[in-house]
Amino acid sequence: MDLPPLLELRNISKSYQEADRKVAILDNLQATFAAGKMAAIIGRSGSGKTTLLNLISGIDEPCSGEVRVKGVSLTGQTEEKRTLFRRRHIGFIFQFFNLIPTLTVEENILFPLELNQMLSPPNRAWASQLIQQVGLAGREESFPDRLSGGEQQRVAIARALVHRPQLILADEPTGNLDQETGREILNLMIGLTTQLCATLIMVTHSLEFAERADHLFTLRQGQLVQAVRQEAL
Amino acid sequence: MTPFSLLTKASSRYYFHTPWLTALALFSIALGVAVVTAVDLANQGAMDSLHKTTSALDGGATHQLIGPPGGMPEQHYPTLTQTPAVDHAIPVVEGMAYSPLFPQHPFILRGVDLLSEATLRPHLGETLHPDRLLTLLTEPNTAYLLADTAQQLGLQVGDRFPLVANGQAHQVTLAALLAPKNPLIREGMASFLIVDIATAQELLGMVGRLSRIDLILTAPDLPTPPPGTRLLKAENQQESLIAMTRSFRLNLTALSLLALLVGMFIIFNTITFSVVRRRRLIGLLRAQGVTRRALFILLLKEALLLAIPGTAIGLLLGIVLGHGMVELVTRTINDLYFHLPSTPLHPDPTSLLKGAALGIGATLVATLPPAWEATTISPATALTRSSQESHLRPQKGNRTLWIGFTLLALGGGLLLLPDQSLAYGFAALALLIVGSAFLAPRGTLLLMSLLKRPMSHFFGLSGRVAVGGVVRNLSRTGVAVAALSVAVATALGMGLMIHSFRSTVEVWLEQTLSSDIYISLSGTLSTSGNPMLKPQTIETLKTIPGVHQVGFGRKMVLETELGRLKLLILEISKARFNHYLFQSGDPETLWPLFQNGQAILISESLAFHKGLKVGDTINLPTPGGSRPFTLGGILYDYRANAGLIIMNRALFQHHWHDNGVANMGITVSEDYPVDQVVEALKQAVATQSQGENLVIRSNQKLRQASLDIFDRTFAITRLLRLLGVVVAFFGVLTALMAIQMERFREMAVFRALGLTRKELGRVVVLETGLLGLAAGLFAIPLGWLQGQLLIHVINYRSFGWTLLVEPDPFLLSQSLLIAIPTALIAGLFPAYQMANTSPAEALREA
Repeated sequence: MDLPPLLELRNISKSYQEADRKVAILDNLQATFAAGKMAAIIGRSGSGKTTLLNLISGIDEPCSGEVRVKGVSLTGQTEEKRTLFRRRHIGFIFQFFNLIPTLTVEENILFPLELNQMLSPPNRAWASQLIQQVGLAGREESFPDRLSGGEQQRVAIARALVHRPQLILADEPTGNLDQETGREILNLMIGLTTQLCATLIMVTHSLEFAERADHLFTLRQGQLVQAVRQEAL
Repeated sequence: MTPFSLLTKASSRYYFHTPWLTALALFSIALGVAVVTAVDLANQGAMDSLHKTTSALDGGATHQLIGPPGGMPEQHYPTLTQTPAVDHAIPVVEGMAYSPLFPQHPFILRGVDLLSEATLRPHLGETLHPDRLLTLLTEPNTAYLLADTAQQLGLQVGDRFPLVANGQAHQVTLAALLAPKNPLIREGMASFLIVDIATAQELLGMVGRLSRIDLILTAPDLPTPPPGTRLLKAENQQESLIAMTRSFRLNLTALSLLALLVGMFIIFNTITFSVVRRRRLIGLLRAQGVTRRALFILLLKEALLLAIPGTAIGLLLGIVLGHGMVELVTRTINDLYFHLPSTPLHPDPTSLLKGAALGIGATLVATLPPAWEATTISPATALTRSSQESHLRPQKGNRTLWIGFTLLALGGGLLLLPDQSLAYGFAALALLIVGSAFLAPRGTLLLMSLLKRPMSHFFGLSGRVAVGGVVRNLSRTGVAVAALSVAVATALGMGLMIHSFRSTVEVWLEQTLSSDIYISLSGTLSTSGNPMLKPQTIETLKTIPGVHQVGFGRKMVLETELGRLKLLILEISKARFNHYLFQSGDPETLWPLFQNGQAILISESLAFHKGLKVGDTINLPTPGGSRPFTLGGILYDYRANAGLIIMNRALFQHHWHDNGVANMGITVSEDYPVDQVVEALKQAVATQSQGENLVIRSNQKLRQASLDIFDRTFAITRLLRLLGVVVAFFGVLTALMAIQMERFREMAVFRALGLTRKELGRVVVLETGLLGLAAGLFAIPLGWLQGQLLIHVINYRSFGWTLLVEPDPFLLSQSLLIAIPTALIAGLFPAYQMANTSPAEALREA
């Protein structure tokens, strides 16, 4: 039996004003993402992939259309409510890691728990376990700039998962890493997401993930098109 | 393209990309330079006014024969003109006068012999028609005034106006206007009311007497001065006036340098911040092969690019500020030392050059430490932000602690040196300030560890993030806290000094002014004019019902071997004598000696400046020649910085053969209300004293008038303090805004992770508030120490005044009142900006 969709994108349009010109990025985009599944979104640079993730997470607002996560419409919500929703239900992994430079590895990972007032001993234990799982045991007190790119992305993964969100958004998480490290990171992400039964939506150029994802979408001319795997690849 | 043009571009673009921070840095430099330049210009302006006044009116005199108080017999004049060594001799009668119509414009009433003046001071007659000259000589109570002054006062030739001189009201007619061609002479004469010598003698109550005789001596053998007079070189006379104000001007300059030091901290903070912020870029440049030397020069060049426009703005601002300040300096010199007419300020190129050198020099000096630090680290370290944060963490921050404590110890050592010089005092103060600044980062860490729990308890997540932000950005926050605490402490220290001084003067006035009512001839309280009360007036007033006891006094200026000193002649009761505050000497033992004329008293400042102690003797010029007087006691006294001698009236009468008194102190019988007696005295004066302009004031009113003068003399110090606060405010704004702006990307990540706008705004404001709190708290001990140094070292070494009242500890809380709101205001703009920027945009921009 298929689970109800965790994420629905209904007629999403988004455009930016560039000088006198209006640049349409997304145009009446429609899509649904099932809970517990992995979806890969591919597309050319500038096709609007990051914009789409920002709309899904509520960081940005669509010009028209509706974003529904877990049956809750984020569209029309105040910025504050969107933020609180994101804080609790979404984990974000960026291409450039975006760790807080002035927080240590452990502090970066505990940060979402603190934001959600979930700093209970079991959750702390879970955070420690995550640190172990991402292979950073012993580096808890290190600052981000002491870590390699792969290590930083491991911290970012642990940070995105520590509060057990149902939706994980990843924006080219391996784009800044070598192939070997990228593969390790991918395995880690898939493993941990599966472990949490979370939905993973990943914007990627990685063929490997595209092959392993449950669904594959192509973002082209502002539309998200479910791609035939072989064609897309 | 030169090899380093891109390097320069990379560095200069930083300032163009951060226009607000650049503007604030420029403003900090400008303000520091402006304060120093303004004070220097004002000091120069006041001295310029002194030079102009004396040059304009003394003309080419080489010497002056000065008479005793009350003047010398005019017979000395014809005798001198017969002396072979004397080429020219010009008699002068001079005193203070004022018109009730122009209370803000006291006149120096000068009586001249126009015929002999023509040779020495031709400007007096150069624009006058001979008929007008004749008017002055033939018609009584006619006067000349500078045309500019007359226009300013709205007077025209032929106008009659009231003039009070020697306590008597007269009517004077403006007979002619003077318009010397030389602008310097015009400015110097602005306060002078010129009358014929006979008129001056009459108006000033000096019939048959002269104040002095100006001389041009040709022969090397000087004539022997007649008894009771002194022959002085004209330039020495001017020098002695300048010397009297030296401490005051030096103190003012030093206080302005303190403002520059605060400004330097701000500059240091700005440059340090610009370096710290670009550590990564510096690392990259080093990694690309830019040498340490090239980088060091680059940073100094950057500082120079800030310093030049900042200094230029500062100089312009200084000139504007100087115009206002010269009035304050002149007024203070008027109140504390001697009458000095105010003249318009002409920006002195030397002062401007000094200001420019200080502004550029201070900026470069403040740049040296961060520039040195930036160039000595390896590229690998520079690329690592955490290394610079850990550099300041406790385990590695001992070096700054040691430097701080060493500087403090050096400062303390300077204070213990036997040489009581003011320069050492200020050097100690500067070391204390810089030393304390080194302790600030460690102190910030300590404070944050104490605040971690309460902040978490009261503000939850925002509180924890804010504390973390302060601690983890210590390379920026530590410097900001140091700069802010120094700036606030300086303002606080000056505030404490002013408070202590005012309280001391209040206590002293309460003790010294122990009579219930004071009567004096009208005139400005600050001038040293010498009008006498008429004996019949005194007798009348003594008989008014309610008058229980009467004391007498008068004041005069003596030219002594120790310089120009004020002499206070008193006839007072034992009870009043006992009220005086003695620094040395016991009033019980001293009373009979003072009463019998065996001892005189001197003020503490005179004892300090001249190294005098109880038992010493000083020679004073009397009509019978120079006479030695024994010092019996030293008094705390705050009325004359130049020094004061107090003598029993009987002793004065014995040597000066002068029985005159200028004021009376009345003790009212217990069963009479003071106000009622005041009214009765006023009525008696109105009906019985002919032409005498008497001022009758209750103790309370006189005390208030004295405090008003005090407040006037401290107006300039208050202004400097205010400017210090303004410098501090902008410095803090720069530092804290810079810290928050730099963390824009970090804050965007916080937002992306789910921190709401409100929470983020709260984090920013809490963080700046914490920095303000830290700075405010550190400023308390530092400000207290600065205050103590200003009170007990700087002030004492400048003026020789011991301040008896310790400042109110409650005043210390002012530091928090300055620091925290300033810090919160500084946090508002970045908080607003961050909260209203889309995290998506911020992340894309970063």
